[in-house]
Amino acid sequence: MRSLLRRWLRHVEGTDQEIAEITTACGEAATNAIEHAGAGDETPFEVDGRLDGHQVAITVRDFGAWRPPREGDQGRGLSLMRALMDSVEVTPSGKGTTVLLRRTLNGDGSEERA
Amino acid sequence: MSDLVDLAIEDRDGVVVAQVRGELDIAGASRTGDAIAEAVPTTARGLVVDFSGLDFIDSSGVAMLFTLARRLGRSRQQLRVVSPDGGPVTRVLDIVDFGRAAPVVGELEQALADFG
Repeated sequence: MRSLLRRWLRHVEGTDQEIAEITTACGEAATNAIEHAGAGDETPFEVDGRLDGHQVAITVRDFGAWRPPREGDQGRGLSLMRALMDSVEVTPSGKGTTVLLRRTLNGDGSEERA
Repeated sequence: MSDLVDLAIEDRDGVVVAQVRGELDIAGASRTGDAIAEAVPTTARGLVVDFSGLDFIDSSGVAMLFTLARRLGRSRQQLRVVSPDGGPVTRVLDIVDFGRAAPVVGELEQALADFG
């Protein structure tokens, strides 16, 4: 998932730092989704990325049961997402949890790309 | 061990240096942390976790570091973390304020110098 996301973010001209930060935030959302889905690697979750002007909006949706943060994590996953993105919306429902991550890209990405 | 993460352990004058390379996420963090902890004898002067070759860390990797810091603290051994300034891993360590658990420095030699 991370390599696909990085490729897309490079395509929409994110800088190296933006790509790293957005990928980290999405990784946290995906980890939550996998944990909500419970045991087993087969339960699907969805990642949807959109670009609106310079704003990247990524939705990570799972179909499991919302759970409080795992022991040892102490809510760090959510803190990381909030620190790395402009906004984070978590919407739990009976059918699963949706996390919407938004971040506006600053430049055209050219200055940091090799 | 997860395919994404690679661990190499070496002894530098009684200090255990654990080089973690690749990407550290929920698939490999806890096994990596256990492997590092097992590699630190009680006689070691301390542990340096070297993230110079690490491209990605998430909250499970961070939890692994905090767990190591607690274990080392219990055995009165010192922990240093190496993470290059300005890199994505350092950014994450800054956000979670890992520096309150153990010092984070930019280069391995700098971390080893702390052990005298």
